[in-house]
Amino acid sequence: MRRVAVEKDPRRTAHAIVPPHIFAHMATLSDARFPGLAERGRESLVFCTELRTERLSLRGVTPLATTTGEGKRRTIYDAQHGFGLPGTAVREEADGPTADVAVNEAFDGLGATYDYYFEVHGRDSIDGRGLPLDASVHYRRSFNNAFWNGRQMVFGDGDGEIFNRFTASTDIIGHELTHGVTQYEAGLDYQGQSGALNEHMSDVFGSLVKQHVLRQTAKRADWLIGEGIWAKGIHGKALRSMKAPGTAYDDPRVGKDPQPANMSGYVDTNDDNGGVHVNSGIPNHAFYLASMGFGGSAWVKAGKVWYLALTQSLHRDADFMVAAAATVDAAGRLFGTKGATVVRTAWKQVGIEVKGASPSKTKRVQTKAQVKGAVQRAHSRGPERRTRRAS
Amino acid sequence: MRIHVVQSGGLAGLRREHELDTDALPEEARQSLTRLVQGVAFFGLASARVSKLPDMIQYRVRIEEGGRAHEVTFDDASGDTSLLELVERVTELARAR
Repeated sequence: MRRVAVEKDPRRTAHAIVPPHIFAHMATLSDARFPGLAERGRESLVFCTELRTERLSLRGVTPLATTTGEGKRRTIYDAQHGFGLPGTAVREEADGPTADVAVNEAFDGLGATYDYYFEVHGRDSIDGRGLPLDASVHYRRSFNNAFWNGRQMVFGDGDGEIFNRFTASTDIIGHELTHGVTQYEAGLDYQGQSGALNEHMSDVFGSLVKQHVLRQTAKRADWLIGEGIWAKGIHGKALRSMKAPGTAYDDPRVGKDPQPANMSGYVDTNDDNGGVHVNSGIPNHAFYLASMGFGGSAWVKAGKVWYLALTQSLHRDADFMVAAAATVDAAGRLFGTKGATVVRTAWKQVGIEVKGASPSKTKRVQTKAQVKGAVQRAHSRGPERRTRRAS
Repeated sequence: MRIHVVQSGGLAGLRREHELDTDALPEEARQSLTRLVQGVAFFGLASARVSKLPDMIQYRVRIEEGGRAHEVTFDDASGDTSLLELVERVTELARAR
């Protein structure tokens, strides 16, 4: 095996041992007793990113042990088309592939998600403490869904008419497991705008898991959620598009993608916990725009900004304005004034304007968010504006 | 007996509706549905039990029979197995028609 020069640099060794989330936390410090610590945290975060990029470029070289995700403990169960969970264990961490494609896809998707969170954010599993990852496949008969039930992943096979099996999409698996991360962090209430933010976070990190697996830049990524899970014959690319919300599908059997990309299209509805899967299109598009504004791979900057907001700023009843302000603030802490400007501009393009001074490098600055009448307009429309969905 | 099921939410956020008139069904299917409705004591169920867990499909089931009607809302996590079986059976029969 090739020896790698990086091991001779003690600074690099330290960065292989200290998880990036420690540096992320340092970067947010504003305590006057620790002058300069925030700046060093920001520098270290940037250095971690460079180091990971370097490792990825060294083809054929075994990654350092500290980045291989040794805490991964996956178990896949077969629910055998019944209602009982978890079912029978059919593949554990040390086992090789089985003859069941759903089992193997679930195993690989759980692994890709664990690796993303560990390598990019230094997070050890869903709870940050090495929670074993359990998933059940073949849940119920022709079940058109997949979900995180607070303890484990559950996958249906789809009915074959509308949906294929739900294990077929890596970003769906990342999406569902991120609901677990949100559960342990911001705890965003699954209703209305906080619920749409919960969905948004799952789409963001679900997409980043896939982009990380494919080593794609923001520009090359498809930004689709659920590509490949529509059954043959359904006219659609995916369930949602972060790049172009509202364009993912259009078919008489399932209706048209109802997602807005801007606050001017905000939908008030009682279905779906207040349209959590609809209005998530607005922050989703802001994240896409921020990622394009930063350039490069989306997980390097935009992903870190959103992760910092999710884990340290947002709370259970946060709305879009709060999320916009929190991510602008996080961008300022991690990447300075230029970073804050990129994120602020992205939100403005979807109709949410964050006002206030950019956070300085070491001093916490209060930021105010204001949606220019958009929320008020949306809420004044009265009940159920959505009429295009198919029955 | 008329059974009306509205599904919303789920990972895909789709809204779908199914309606059945059990009188128009073959005898065996009609009896199996009647057993399921009686088994869950549908007309005595609380009107809403929702878990608010992410990506659960929400089901709004309305049944009309002999001049009375009752509507119940539940989801994949909050619904009893027998209620979920009822929804599964209605969906299968509606799709087959």
